[in-house]
Order: sequence, then structure tokens, then C-alpha cells
Amino acid sequence: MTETKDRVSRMILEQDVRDPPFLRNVGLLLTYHCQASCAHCILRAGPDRHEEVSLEDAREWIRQIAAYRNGYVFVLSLTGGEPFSNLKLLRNVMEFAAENNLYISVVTNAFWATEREKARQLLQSLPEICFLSISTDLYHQKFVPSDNVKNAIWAAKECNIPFYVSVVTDDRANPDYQRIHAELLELADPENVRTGITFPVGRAADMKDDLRYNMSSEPCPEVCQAASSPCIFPDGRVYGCIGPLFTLKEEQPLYLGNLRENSVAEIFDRMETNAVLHALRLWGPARIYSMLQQAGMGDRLPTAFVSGSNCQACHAILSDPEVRRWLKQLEKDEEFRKIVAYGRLYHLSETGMLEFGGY
Amino acid sequence: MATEKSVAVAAKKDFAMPVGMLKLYQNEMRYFPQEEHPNGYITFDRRMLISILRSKNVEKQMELAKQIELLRNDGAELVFMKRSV
Repeated sequence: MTETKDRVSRMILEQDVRDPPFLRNVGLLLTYHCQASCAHCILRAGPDRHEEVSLEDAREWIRQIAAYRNGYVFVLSLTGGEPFSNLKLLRNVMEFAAENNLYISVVTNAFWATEREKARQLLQSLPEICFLSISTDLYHQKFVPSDNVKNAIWAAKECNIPFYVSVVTDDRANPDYQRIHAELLELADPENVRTGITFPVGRAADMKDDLRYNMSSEPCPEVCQAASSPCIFPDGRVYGCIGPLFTLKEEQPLYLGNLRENSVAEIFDRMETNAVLHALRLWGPARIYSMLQQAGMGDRLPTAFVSGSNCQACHAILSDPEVRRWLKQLEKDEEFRKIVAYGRLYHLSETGMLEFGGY
Repeated sequence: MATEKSVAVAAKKDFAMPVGMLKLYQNEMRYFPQEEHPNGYITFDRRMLISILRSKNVEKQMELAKQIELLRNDGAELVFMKRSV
């Protein structure tokens, strides 16, 4: 089978909407710069932040991503900060990624969509974009008007670019959230409007007391869908997800390495056999929580969790350094690794750990 | 809520599941978020495929069509399944 044919075969195979395919999607955080300095931003992005990926690094990393296992990765997700902040960088990165046969998705706050026609022209000038994710909510709308979002949705439809709108809130009963959500449903199908729960990290940690979460004594039981896609930061750090765990820096199981010290292949191969990461994908942080309880670590565990947020649960559980040390040992436990490896085969039809792990 | 799943035949290295392991997973409950993780992630999915098919990039469309055709010549079938839950 030729390389390109094999690529499409695998692409068609993985259209399961429940478990995102592993490592087919890689995030690249282009910049910390953003027109908005949202109160909930986990990255603390804003107008005063100017750190961004260099074009030289981006090209080298993209080249390696595209070459990994002969085109294993399909999609490069560009995020930030606001990727449209530096249009020249965005354009160059997208062109290079497209030349390397990667499909491209971009996350944006739509600040650039000040007028309908202008927004359409801009999207038309960026034909590499296969998918657009537009962020708007109470936090974003303090900086980017809802009209911009409406214009961006209109322009995406005009350009036949699939999109979804991401709305984040700490409280679904909040009338302002409900108003924004209702307005969006007038412009987009319900499946294109997704609500997430504010993570209490980054800038949101500064306003923790004001957040109106529904709390629970048990962690969210859901599987983790984020750890299927690693995210590369401008300084070369690679994390197993773009969730709040990156705030725990390097001493945690989802820190995969730095591209200034290791190649993409080394880091992605390591991710393939990271048992804790795959346990999160299979069973979510609730399984880790119950394992810790059974191991007598109950006194190190949080007693309150944000309902429905496995990212918050994961971050809260892993915030304790003793828990992270225990997980480091668990990672080496052959029985655990075997259970995860066969669990991937049973639930996800993935053989990567079995192949690499030699079972 | 109904979900869709598409499946194609593909050669995959076979791994035998140990019986003890099978019992471990058979009755396991896995819970999924009602909405997909929305925080900056876009995973390659059905909609992305539709995007390519709908795009104005004829070259990309033709390449995709040709490769799907070649798959058929290799004995692979593309199946769309609608699952009721």
C-alpha cells in the first residue's frame, strides 16, 4: 500500500465521535499575545504578552510532525493566545504545514471580524484553514464584541469552513451565559456551539472565590478526551493536553519533554507508551482517584470537585506533589501498564502500547 | 442521543486478548462528556472530512476521491453506521 493511500485509509478509520483518535491531532501554541486579557485565561494571555513561536522553530517542528511515522498526524491545531495576532506568522506556518500535507484548524477570538466583508476576505486569503474554532463568552466579550463573532460565523459559512463556537462558563444558570448561548443558537446549529467549564487555574485562579461552580464530593467520572492530542508551546515544551495540567510545569505525568532537547519522534513515541496518560483517556481522572484511595493516599486527595469537569478533577488530584510521586512509580508498574495496554486494545482498538511495550 | 461511526476494513497486527484481561474490561463502564472538550482542541473527525469534500481545493478533493477509489480496489469497504443509544 502506498504511503498516501495508507494515510487516507487510516483517516477514514477513525471517525469515532466518542474517543478522539490518538495523536492524529497536534496543537501548536503560536503566541501568548491576545487582544483580550480574559479573566478566565489559563495561559494569562493578553496584549502585553509577546512571546511567540519563531518561524524557524515552527517549520522544523512541523517538518518533524509531518514525517512522524510516515504521516501519522493529520491535523495541526493552531492556538494561542490569538493566532491571528501575527498574521504573517500564521500565514507562513499554515502554508508550510499545508505543503507538508497537514490539515489545519485555528482557534480564534474573532477580533479581526470587525465587518462581514472584511472577515470573508481574510478567510478567503487563508485557504489552508480547514476548521475554525471561535471562542466567545462573558469573559471574551469584555474585549471582543459579539458582532465580531457573528461576522466570523457568517464569513466561515460563506467560505464553507466548518466551525464551532466555544463558550466557557462557571455557571450554566448565569443569565448572561444563557443570553450569549441563545444568541449563538440563532446563528449556528446546536452541535456547533459547545460549552466548557471555566478551569480554576491561570488568571481564573485569581478570582476563584467569585466562580459559581456546582460542586461535588466525587470527581467527574468522564473519560479524558483532551489527552489524545499533545500541545507544543512556543519554548518547545510538549504536554499531553492543553488543559490546566501545564500549570504544574515539568513534574507531572503529562509533561512529555522539550523539543529543544528531544525530537518530535522521541516525544510522541514516549506519549504512545505513557500509561498514566492512556489511563486518563480510558477511564478519566476518577479512576486515578479511586486507585489513590485504595493505595491509602486518601488524605492527600481533594474533597470537593467541580461537577462535570474532568479537567478540574485531574488538576486538583495531581496538584499534590506526593500524588505525582506516586504516579511516577505507578508508571513503572508492569501490571498497571499491561492493564492499560490491553484496555486500549479492548476499548479503543489501539495497539500502540502492545507493539511498543512488547506484550 | 444517536452517534455515528464509520468503519473501514484495515489490516492490523493481531493481538490476542488474555482471557483474564477480557473479563476485566467487559463490564467496565466508560462515561463520555455530553459535549466534546471545547477548550482549543479540534480533533480530526467526520466534519473535517466533509470540510475537505466541500472545500474549493479541487486538487485536494480529487486526491481524496482517488485514494478512496484505490482503497476499494484493495478490497476495503467504507461503512457508515448509525448507532442508537
